[in-house]
Formats: sequence, C-alpha cells, structure tokens
Amino acid sequence: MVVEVRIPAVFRKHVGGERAIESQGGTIKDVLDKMGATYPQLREELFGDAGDLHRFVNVYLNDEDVRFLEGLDTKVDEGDVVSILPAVAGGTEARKV
Amino acid sequence: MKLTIPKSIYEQMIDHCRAGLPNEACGFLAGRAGAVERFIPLENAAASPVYYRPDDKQMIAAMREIDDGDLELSAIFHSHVASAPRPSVTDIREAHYPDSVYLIVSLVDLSNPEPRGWLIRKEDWRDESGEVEEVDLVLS
Repeated sequence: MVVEVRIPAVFRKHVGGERAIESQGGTIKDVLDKMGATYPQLREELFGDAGDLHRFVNVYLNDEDVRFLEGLDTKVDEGDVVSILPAVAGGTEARKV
Repeated sequence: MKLTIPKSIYEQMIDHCRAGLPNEACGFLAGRAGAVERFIPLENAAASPVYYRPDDKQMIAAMREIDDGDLELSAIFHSHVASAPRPSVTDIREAHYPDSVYLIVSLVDLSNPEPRGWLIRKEDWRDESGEVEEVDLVLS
C-alpha cells in the first residue's frame, strides 16, 4: 500500500523540507520502518532506544490516533494519510491541597 | 523577538478563552514571519481547568490548513483560568514546538485578561525541561 505521510515543520529538515512524503507498507510499523530506512535522522527523532515510538510522538491514521486503534500494528489502506505530530498539551499543574 | 497580533484576532482569542470557562481553552495562531494572520480555535479534549489537549481531528485539520495556506504555526495558545500567564512545569514538559510561541492568557481577572508569550527551547525536543524566553506581544 502506498500512503502519504505528513511531516510536521519541526522534522522537515530531515526530509529535505518536504511537507509530505510517500511511504509503503501494510501496517503503520511497515510505513514508519520504510520511511525510517530512507530518512534515518527522522527515525532517530521518533523512536526511543527500545524501538518504541517516543511517548511525545503522536501518529494518526487519517485522523485517528493509532494508539486508540491497534498501535503500530494498525493496518493501512492504499491512499491513507499518516500524520506524525509532536504532542500538543499543557496547562496549569494541579495544586496539591 | 516579538509576535504581532491583529486586534480582531486577539479579541477572538480572548473570547474563545472566556467561552471555555471553567476549563482551559486552546487553539493556534497561524501567520508568517512573526505576524499572525489566522485564528484557529480548538476544542480542549481534556475538558479540564488545569490541562489542555486539543481535539485530535481539529488539530490535524488545523495543521493541514496551516500547510495549505503556506502559513507557520506562529503560536499555540491556551488559558490559565486561575494562575499567572507563565509556563507551568506541565507547559514546559509538554512543549515540543521550539519555533512556535506558547501564548498563555490568564483569566484571573476576567475583566482584564492578561496574555503573555513564551518561547520554550530544549536541547532535544523530547526533553522535559528547557529554557524559557519571553516574547513581546504587539497588537496591530
């Protein structure tokens, strides 16, 4: 399956400035592995030493967070869009009473 | 560094923050070269007075809108409903966009919301601590 992978601005330096690249595979893991083989610096940014996605990296299949699907084993279809985004979150820390 | 925000967009942002009460509100400001051109409100999926996390679908659509418009993610804004507009430990830990201003609107005084902007830079984007630098906010 050929899919589009959307690259966030913060990582575009690793893919020649492209906003999106093509990758292939039957699962999210395949797609990211294939992409990582072509762009090893990007792979280093996304994965921890144990080979797991870093906890601050969110990967979406179309607009669903793959953590709420089948994680890296989530199957992809031809033409799907995979988006990689560093987490956006924050807020006032909870006060201790 | 400074971030220039059109007054109309500033007012939309403040209205969005007030409308989100009692919870924190959030959204993006998009633009070019330090000048904001577009207001993108996002729903706080965490629905919490002490935490924000944008709705995934809205956030992905917003990132696409920014790319398609040849814009930059100028600022990620959120409100602090009961504290000063300074980055909290949580804000710093969860900041992973070194080129975007983290704009915080304090709603402590509802009649006079206080916005302040910050760059949060880390040696590695995955680090949980970093350097904080204030950005001048200029209304145009």
